[in-house]
Amino acid sequence: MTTKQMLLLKYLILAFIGIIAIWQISSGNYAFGTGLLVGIIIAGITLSIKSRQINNLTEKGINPYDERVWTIAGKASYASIRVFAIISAIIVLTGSIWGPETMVNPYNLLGICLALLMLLYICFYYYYNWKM
Amino acid sequence: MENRLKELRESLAMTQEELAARAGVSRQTIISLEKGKYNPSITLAYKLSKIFGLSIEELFMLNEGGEKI
Repeated sequence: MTTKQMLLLKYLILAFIGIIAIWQISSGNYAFGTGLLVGIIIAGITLSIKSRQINNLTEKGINPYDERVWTIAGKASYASIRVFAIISAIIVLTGSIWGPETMVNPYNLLGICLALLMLLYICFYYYYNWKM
Repeated sequence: MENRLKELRESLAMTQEELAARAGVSRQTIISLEKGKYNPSITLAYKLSKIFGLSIEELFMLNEGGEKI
């Protein structure tokens, strides 16, 4: 798959999620639908800026995905998974001993875990990018 | 890992951007290499040594204090 085809596929996925967001808003699920729509708009803008930067670098003959970027991404992934596992273990341990029993929507919980993991990855990525 | 990248690049009056383009990496990678903050892969070390017409050992030197792998 070429870079252009990959970009087109990403935009199509965003458009598909956008349709779901509009459907949710029209069905009365305003909070979820609006959140999804805002997320898609931000993702679309980020994707557009990123693809423009990649094109500029490629035109200059520079590889935008050079080995330093992969090294940083690898270190950031490893560090974020480690920290996430430690945080989860502490919560499970303390919650099982002293915490109250709560009813949790599994989808919300999964969403929070995903957001935390992404946040950790972004933080570690910027940290290693600054360090290296 | 220490290297002579900056010294050799400057002796050839080459900019970081030019060296990056020739080695097929970003300018940021060259900056990190020159500062000694990043150790290159064997492929990149080979490409850089070929650009300067040297062997890898002449371009990159392992620290005596030991490297954190």
